[in-house]
Amino acid sequence: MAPAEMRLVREPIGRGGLLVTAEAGFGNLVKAVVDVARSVMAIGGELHSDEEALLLDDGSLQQDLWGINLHPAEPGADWIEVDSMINVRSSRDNRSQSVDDATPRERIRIVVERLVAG
Amino acid sequence: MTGSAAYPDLVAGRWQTLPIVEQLANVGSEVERAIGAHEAGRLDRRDHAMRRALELFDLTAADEGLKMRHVRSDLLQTPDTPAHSCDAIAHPVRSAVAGEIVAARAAGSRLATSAMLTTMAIAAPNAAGSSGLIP
Repeated sequence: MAPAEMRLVREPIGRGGLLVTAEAGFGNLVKAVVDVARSVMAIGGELHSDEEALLLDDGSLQQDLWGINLHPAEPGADWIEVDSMINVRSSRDNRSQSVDDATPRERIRIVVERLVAG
Repeated sequence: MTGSAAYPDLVAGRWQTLPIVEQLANVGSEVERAIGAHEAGRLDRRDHAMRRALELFDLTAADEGLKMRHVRSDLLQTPDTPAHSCDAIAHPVRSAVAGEIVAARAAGSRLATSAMLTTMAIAAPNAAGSSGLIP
């Protein structure tokens, strides 16, 4: 199977689109980086840092970027896993791979739900 | 995905172009994810994360220019279970990255902080033991 291609998601792609990306990559998950300010996300990269770089090239600000894993085949809220090395950010007092502040965490969920509607 | 690499591009050579601190930070990230999944009772996610961690670690350990080969040898002698692999990988990764962090911080790499915090988290005293990950 061809490897997943890294790309930006600006319009809804549906769970089906994510499943295709998962199958072409890690099988059970899709790594993604979400820009909570511009409501766009990068998917299909092997590393979150690759997706972060793609978004920075597209005009994102690093402070708005958060790394997540999406499990498109799973039901419930757990399908969005906020967990990435790029989230460790002493400048924002975020010292874990998760996102400690509830505000950006909720914003991540809203952006993802919009971009993966259907 | 069964039987194929999770990271085809990295396996093809890109991994070796990354600084060692970035390599180990990514390995540590997957190990920490595995520990978290284990604690949450998500054994499917744990096993996937450990598979990804070991695939990346293999790429680092295979580099003749690095001093990680003995760690891989140790790993090969551990029982082939996610719990034992996790135990075996977490501590040597923390140890190996410690020296690299000093150099990376001196060079101003922001990944140094990520690597340090990640490896501290995965190998903190009792982190794996208290989770029940290590029998």
